Amino acid sequence: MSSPHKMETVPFQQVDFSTILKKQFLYKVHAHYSMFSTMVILQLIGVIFAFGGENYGTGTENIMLNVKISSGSIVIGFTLFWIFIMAILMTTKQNKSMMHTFITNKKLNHLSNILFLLLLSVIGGISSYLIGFFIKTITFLWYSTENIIVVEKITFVEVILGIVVTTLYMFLLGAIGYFLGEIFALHRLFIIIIPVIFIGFLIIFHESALGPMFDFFTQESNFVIFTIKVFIVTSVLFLIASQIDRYSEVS
Amino acid sequence: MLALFTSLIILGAMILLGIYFSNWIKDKTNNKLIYRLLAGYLIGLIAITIAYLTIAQPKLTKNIQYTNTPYLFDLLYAEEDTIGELPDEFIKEEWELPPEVEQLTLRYQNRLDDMIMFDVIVEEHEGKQGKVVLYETPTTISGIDVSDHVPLNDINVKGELITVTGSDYVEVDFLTIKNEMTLAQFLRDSTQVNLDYFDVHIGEQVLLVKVPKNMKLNANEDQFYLHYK
Repeated sequence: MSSPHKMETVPFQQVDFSTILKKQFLYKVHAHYSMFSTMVILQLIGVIFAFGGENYGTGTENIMLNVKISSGSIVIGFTLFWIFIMAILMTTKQNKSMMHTFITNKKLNHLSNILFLLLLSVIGGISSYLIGFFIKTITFLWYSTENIIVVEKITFVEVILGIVVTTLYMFLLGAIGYFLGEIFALHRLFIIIIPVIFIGFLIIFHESALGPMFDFFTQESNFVIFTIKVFIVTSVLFLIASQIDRYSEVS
Repeated sequence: MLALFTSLIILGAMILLGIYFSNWIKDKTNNKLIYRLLAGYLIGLIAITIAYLTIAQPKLTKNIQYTNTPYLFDLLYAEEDTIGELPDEFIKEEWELPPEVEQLTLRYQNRLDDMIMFDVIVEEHEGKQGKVVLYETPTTISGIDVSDHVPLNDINVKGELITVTGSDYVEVDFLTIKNEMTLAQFLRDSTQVNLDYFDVHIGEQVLLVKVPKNMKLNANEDQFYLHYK
């Protein structure tokens, strides 16, 4: 009969990299499940804004013509902002210390974060893109078909393309958020400095100065090149973010 | 700039609101329930997408004819000294005046208290019979003809009286269904639709009155702008 005080010996096992990564990833999914409800709430708010929509109106003394544009773009915009904020939140001290319960290293932690951001991007990409069809269906039911002057037709393949591209944009914004989050984690002062620099940049050089940066992605009409651009930029951002994190540990 | 900051502030406030609600939900629910709700949400969106693609979209399919409509006034005064010819494609209606008509009266009656200036080209000829031709351009939004929805002045020719009746106040709401921005950038070459700029052309009307020489023409010059050819 074994003594109750006797320590149970656990055989040391060489746990492989992918198993730990998978466990960490699943742990993050469970720990951050409320991020999904934030996303749904934000998207539903976006739907309300989308129904208000983009409106144009013009006319003469006795003729007034109004055109409303129905599209889910605004919900995509909201979801992009959501993933950006969620990515920043993932780099907070609270989230980093949560991983101390795991046998882990920084590399694994970053990899599991990237995988989690990828999951958020996929869910955000699918839902924000498809919610556009909800908006279009409601407006179709609401308006007389005679007053619908333009309908940009879409095929099933284009729907898939739309989802993939939206997911890639989500991943890109997630990477930018993650990168900024790591900079903010370096010193609290950066939380103020970086937005101030950004706003100052906007005031001095105006919105047009940011144009080339946006155009690099938004003016790309070749899907393959667009995908390569996104993967290169996100890889660089994640790499720099992990290096910043390593530096912050040393200092 | 202000709009950008305002929208960022609104968006930030909504994110905080979203986080607050999600934390509230987190306290009230467990992760399994959230996953089920999320799965239901995604399945619902997929079902709506299929319904839109298979039921709604085929009903909405339209063959859009894009027209490039000129301004009639610009055509009339394309050359400095002479009044230009208007293209036949814009002839809406023609009336032959009875030969016994010795004078012609233009009358405007409006349903609203608005002021109009109606362009009338007067062309005198050696013949004995007069003719009235109405030129009308379509009302377009970014090149799409929406004339059926937008009534213009009603023109009536009876004997020696030409009556122009102004239209009632009309307000028409149109809808355009556009692809999302993330897809639009890849379809730029294939799509013909361009509503990125809002270009509205409200239909113009011009009357051409061909009358025998010396026929008297009565018109209130505050309402009719007579261009003599």
